Amino acid sequence: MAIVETQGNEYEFDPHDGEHFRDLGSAMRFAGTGAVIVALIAGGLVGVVAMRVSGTTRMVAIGAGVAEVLLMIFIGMLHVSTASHVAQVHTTEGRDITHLMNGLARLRGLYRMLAVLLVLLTIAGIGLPTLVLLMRAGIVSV
Amino acid sequence: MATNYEFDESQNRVIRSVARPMGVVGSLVLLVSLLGFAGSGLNTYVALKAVGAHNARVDASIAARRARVSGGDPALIAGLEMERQAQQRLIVPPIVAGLLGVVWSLIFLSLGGSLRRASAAFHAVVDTQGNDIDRMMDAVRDLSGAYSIVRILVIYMIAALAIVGIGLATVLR
Repeated sequence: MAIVETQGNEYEFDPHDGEHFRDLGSAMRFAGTGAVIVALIAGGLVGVVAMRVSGTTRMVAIGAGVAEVLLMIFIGMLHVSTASHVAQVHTTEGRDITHLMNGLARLRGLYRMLAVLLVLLTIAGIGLPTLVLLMRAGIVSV
Repeated sequence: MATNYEFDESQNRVIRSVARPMGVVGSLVLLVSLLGFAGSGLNTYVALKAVGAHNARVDASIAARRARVSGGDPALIAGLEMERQAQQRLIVPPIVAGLLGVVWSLIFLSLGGSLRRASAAFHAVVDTQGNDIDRMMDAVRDLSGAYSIVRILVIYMIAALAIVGIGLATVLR
């Protein structure tokens, strides 16, 4: 995600609009920080459970736990990073469009990743149960 | 300060590239909420049917035993009635579970709707002229609404994980 530098005339959002950017930045920072906290707690719980099992199950639990923690921390950090650019629209003067565009550029990367993740989860969430049902009904065999 | 600021072509490209994946995410969240509504309804129906069948079996069993009681001993009949009440399942838990499912689905419906509206407003910034700042503020407000919902979800998840953690610590102690 490259930093976007706007050229030419800049636009200054009025204080009322600025408050909306402040609220959005605040909510995004909360969501990002919360995602990191959720990742760390969930990772700790998976680690505790993994210590109680053995063999392949432990390896699968640890692998899935580490992947989940890293992914959620990454998503959380992206939110916090985006939030700082969005909030700068409110807190600074003279570069509102630049900050807005930088925030949007980060939002683009974030939502592309979320879209891919949700598509995969939807396919897994709908496709796998459907496959199991078809296999049980004898329509599909592996 | 110009009030009719127009985003230039390169800025419009950035805005459009945010609107597309945001619309996809919003649509998928809406799909999840619709599946949630269907799942909650189906689960509640199946659970209530199972409760009804179980209670009918209990009633039949107690009625058969009551028919065998000679002379209608009041103490024995009262005992059988207490046993019937103790064995019967309540319909409240599946209804509460169903209502919770509906509440979750409504939260996701609202989140998906906010993201779809924000995406539409971003598209409108690019596709229309003369109101770019107004459309941008619509998008910011909708996105802000979506993240207010995410804020609730994050608080819920932290609380739920903390409860699971306390439960796990109690079990493993």
